[in-house]
Amino acid sequence: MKVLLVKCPRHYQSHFEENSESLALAYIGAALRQHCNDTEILDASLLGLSLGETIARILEEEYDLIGFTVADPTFIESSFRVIGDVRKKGTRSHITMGGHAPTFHYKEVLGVCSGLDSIVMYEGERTIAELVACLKQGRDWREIKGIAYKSNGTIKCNHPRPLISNLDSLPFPARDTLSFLLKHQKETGVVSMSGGRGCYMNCGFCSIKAFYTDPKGSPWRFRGNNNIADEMEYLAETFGVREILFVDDVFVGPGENNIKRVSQLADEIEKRKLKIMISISERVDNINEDLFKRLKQVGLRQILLGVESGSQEILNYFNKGITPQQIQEAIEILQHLDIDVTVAFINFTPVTTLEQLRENLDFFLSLRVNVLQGLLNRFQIYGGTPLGEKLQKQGLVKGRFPHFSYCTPDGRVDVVYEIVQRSLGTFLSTAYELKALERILRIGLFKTEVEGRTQEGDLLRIEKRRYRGLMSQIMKEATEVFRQIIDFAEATDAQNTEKVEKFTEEMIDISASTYKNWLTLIRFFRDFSPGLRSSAAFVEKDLANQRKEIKDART
Amino acid sequence: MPEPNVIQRLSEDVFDLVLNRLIHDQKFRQIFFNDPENAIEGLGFQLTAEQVNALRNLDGTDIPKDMINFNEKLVLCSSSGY
Repeated sequence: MKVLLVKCPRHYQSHFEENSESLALAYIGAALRQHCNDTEILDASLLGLSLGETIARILEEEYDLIGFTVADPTFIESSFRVIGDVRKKGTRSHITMGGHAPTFHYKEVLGVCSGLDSIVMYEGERTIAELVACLKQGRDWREIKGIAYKSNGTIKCNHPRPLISNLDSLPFPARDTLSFLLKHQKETGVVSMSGGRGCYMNCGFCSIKAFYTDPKGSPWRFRGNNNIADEMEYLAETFGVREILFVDDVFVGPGENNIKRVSQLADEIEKRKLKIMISISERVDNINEDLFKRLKQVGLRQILLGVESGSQEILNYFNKGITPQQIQEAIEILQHLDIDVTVAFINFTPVTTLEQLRENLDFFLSLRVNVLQGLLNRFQIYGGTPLGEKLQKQGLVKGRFPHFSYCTPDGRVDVVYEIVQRSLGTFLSTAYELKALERILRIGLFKTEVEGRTQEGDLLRIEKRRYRGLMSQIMKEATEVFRQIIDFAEATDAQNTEKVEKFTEEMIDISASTYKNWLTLIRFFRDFSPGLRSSAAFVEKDLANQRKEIKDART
Repeated sequence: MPEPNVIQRLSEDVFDLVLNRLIHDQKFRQIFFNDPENAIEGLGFQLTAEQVNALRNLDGTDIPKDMINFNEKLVLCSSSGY
């Protein structure tokens, strides 16, 4: 049996380079290799392959099974195109697909993509292993639990498979692409790990809980501390990994038991003398100062907080279960501990009002973190999300999979979003540049701490304070630009398209010149600040150079 | 990998002063954007030829590249903070 697991590139050229492996491919690959040694992984997205190159690579050999991973809808159309083309070229392999988007939209996906034989729903390791076993033995795979397929024009979906109760029973992910990542993104390649799966909450915008639903089991499972530390040690010893991003939606969780569990993980990391910089995601109501102080001692340097809104009404709408005050308190604790904070924020929702947009601006400024990206973010309708399903039932969703949209009751909010969408690329690009700069400082500082270079560390701490001053100023200017757009929408008839168009054109010009100015400031900081002298100063290469290097390496 | 930027680093006091003016003084910022070399020298500091050259190259030339595909970028990042 020859198996190929594929992650396609997105259907458009992305601004953001992939800087981590696909853990989905890696986990599935490792699980399959327990039964089938001849399993290959093609992460075309990480390798920077075009669609044509991806198709050519797949067609180089005959496979018995080709599996596509589609984490989110931005990968689905390219996967359809690749599957369609390889079928046209005569591939007779069984083609399957897995991930959130195909799981929650199996009817649409099987309906549109005629070249697809099956969909592996939900958690895939056991299901795809059984699928391979069936194909190998010539048995009927249509009875397998957790499979959806089309039969005589009818789409069928079998019973879901129970979740894997013991995550430690899974083999470590197959790190086929890690050497490539570390070689070609020497200082910046982020190595991902999963400490658990699922989430105990049920936020309106998120499909994690629905994806890991098991009536008999917990919606949130985590690995044992030894198992996690073993993998960290393996990554450090085998690949020289110095930075790990835990992709878990919740790393610590609520209550004393979880504090104890994660404290014990910190003990294990310390006992093994692992000098690895760690990034995690967490809810604001799980930020415990003592625990995070301990986690910092063993490498935690960055955290993604699910903030989502500065408005209590919107937080309630999202079923987030937190308050703006809790958000502020959590960020204060983390800033006090000098742990970098990134926030996930959804500024536009189906019920947002102009007043709430203003409320968010004030809230942004009070946080003193880089939330430029969050200013632009809009709630996306994904299958499996409670809010997405609610809006579908209410008939408020427009468009077809994967291009869903909606209108807000206050049309002026849609005007703001339209202007923002067309004019404020500035914010997104600047957010990226600031993150790159912050990352340089973070890596540099961690290295100096690990290597005991106190003097250099002190210099970098000064640079970090300077960076925060610069970032806060950019945030202030950004909120002023955004406020102008809200003022305009409030004072203008949304139906006056001519006036909206004229204002948008003005904002596009303002945005271009603002970006040029911000970029100059950021580059001045990066290139002239006295503390960025160590190798950390050069970890962020120009995106274009990076892309070229990866392409050269590939060819 | 060479360290091309080391030579052009400014000293603590010069960098602090320039950065502070760039953050808080809009008039200075405009002068700097138009002519960074003169802006810094106007504060009474002499620059090396390498520093002048590096200052002239600060201006972003990749703006058009960054501004395209904005709609997709928005969708792409809407559910992720990283």
